[in-house]
Amino acid sequence: MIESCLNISNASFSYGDKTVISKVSQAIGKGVLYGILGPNGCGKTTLLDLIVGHKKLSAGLIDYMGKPIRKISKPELARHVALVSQNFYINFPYTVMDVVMMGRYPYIPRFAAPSETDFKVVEKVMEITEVARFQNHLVTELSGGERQRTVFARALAQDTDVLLLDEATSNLDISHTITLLDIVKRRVRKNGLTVISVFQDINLAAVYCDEMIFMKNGKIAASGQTDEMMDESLLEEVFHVQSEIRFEPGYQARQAIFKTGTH
Amino acid sequence: MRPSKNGCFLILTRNPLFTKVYRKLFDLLNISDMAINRYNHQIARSRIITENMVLVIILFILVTISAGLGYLRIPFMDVLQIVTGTLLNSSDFLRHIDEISKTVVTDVRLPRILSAAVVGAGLALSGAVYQGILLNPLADPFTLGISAGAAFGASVAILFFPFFNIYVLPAFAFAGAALTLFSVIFLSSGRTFARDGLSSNSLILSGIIVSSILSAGISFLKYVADEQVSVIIFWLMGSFASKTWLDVGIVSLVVFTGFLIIYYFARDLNVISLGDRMAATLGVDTKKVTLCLLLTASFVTAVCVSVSGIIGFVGLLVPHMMRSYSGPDNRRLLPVCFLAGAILMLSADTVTRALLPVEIPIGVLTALIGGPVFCWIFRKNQIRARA
Repeated sequence: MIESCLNISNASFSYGDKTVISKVSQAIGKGVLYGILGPNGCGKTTLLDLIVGHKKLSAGLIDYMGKPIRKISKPELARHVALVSQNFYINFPYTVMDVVMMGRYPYIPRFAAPSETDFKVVEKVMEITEVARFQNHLVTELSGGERQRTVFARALAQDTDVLLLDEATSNLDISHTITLLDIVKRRVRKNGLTVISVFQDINLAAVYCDEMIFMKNGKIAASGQTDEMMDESLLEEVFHVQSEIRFEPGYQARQAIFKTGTH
Repeated sequence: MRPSKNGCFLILTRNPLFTKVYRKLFDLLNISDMAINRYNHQIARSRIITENMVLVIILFILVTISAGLGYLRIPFMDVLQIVTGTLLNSSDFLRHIDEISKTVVTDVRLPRILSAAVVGAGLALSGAVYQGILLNPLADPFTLGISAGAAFGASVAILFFPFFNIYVLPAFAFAGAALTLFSVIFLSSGRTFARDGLSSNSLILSGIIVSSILSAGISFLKYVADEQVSVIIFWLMGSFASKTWLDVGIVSLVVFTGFLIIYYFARDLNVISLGDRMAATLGVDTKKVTLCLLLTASFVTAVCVSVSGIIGFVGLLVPHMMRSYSGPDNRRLLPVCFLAGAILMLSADTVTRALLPVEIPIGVLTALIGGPVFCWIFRKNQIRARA
């Protein structure tokens, strides 16, 4: 039995009368890579916002290590949960290094300078995410992919047990996508990092995720081990697409081939 | 390899003009980016102290020169003696100084000079805060309608209490600004716009709505004002003429307290200026910090406006110019803006008071000079962004 790290029970969230998340319950195991998939507007991003404390639950409870997250102070939570968001604009000319260093803010006292450890973490993170090469460039002048990797490096610098990825690879080319997800996967296996990642690409998710959560209309439609979830009738039910599932020996994972031209 | 201590080029690392040159140089010397970055971070503190000391000295010299200029010219050294003599309350320093010069400097010029400097500092400071919170380098105290609120309050005071202007006018201006601030925050924090906090878009939108209503209100007051209309118009153009030590005291108290509060949140403002979703994940209580900064900056603005009338472009221009010099980090930017705002406003006021043949309202002067300068900066950045 895997130790549970986050526990979402009966979580609901609504904007005024519009319910975005309704009674979602899910245990998140430690050291597991989860993929959240679902049609646009099904509440994937909102669920991540709730976990990270950016939005407040209308009802229900989210526990981190047995403690409700609203009772954990914000700086404390930031040392345990990090988020990489998808759309990301910076209007101010910070350097890449400045932005990555912001990931250390939860660790650095208000008026103190970064310590040796902070520099070491930031430098290591910039090295493995391959942003070190342009660390002195201004974020306002980066390409979309470079900016995305900078934000990813910032989240890694936060050195958390839980990492939430909100379509973190959507701006990246295939080579950088693989690099980034490989880093994530390695940390999950080696350091026991827990990852919850929103994916659009079902096949990419199938290669990397241990478990998949399918969401639809603010509810969890199905969740379980990736192999069980890669199922033709399930995909049709959630995404309204017809597909054929094959086992791909190169990945050691199931892949879906979607039927096109039916519309 | 660690860079040597004589890395004076590093001071210029933010300047796009030198970027190419220094990168070439460091490549040649085989200094790694990481070494440069560490060095930059390590010297950051001493650099902050040095640059602010330089600005303080410039400001002090400017105050002294300015106090000597005017209809009655007083030599630089005499002004110094008057100031030190009055401060130390000793007659030794004042022996050679005639009574008129002393009165002119201490009772007439210094209150005006100091209130100009403090108002400049306050407007620049709150401009920097608004730009950080609204995620928009082009925001300033006017964007939220704070200045329009103060102007409306002042117009009401001038219209209905024409004989009690000295105390009533600042009070009304302040009340107008405060009411505007609360209605803007109330409008933008409703359920319709943003449930989770004050989003920058809804703040700007509410600011524009409220200030258009207030502008119409001011026009209406001008229309019904009759004889008082010239007083309203002159006040709206802004001036530091006939300021007293009381004005200096009030505005200094608010501006300096405001600076301390804002500087406490400087690091949080850095994170907020990257968007509130990012700030929330970095452990910043976005809603609380935003509200606190917004309230402080607006009260600073309101008090400044109530003392001096409407003076545009300082809050917009100073943070913008300083950001290209000191970078966007608010821990460095805020003190520099504070001092540069004081220097700029004092220079402008000295020009209109002592150098020009006729005294132009300072609000007109700052807009006439600041506007085109800003157009030039904006255009230059547009061209650079396209290249």
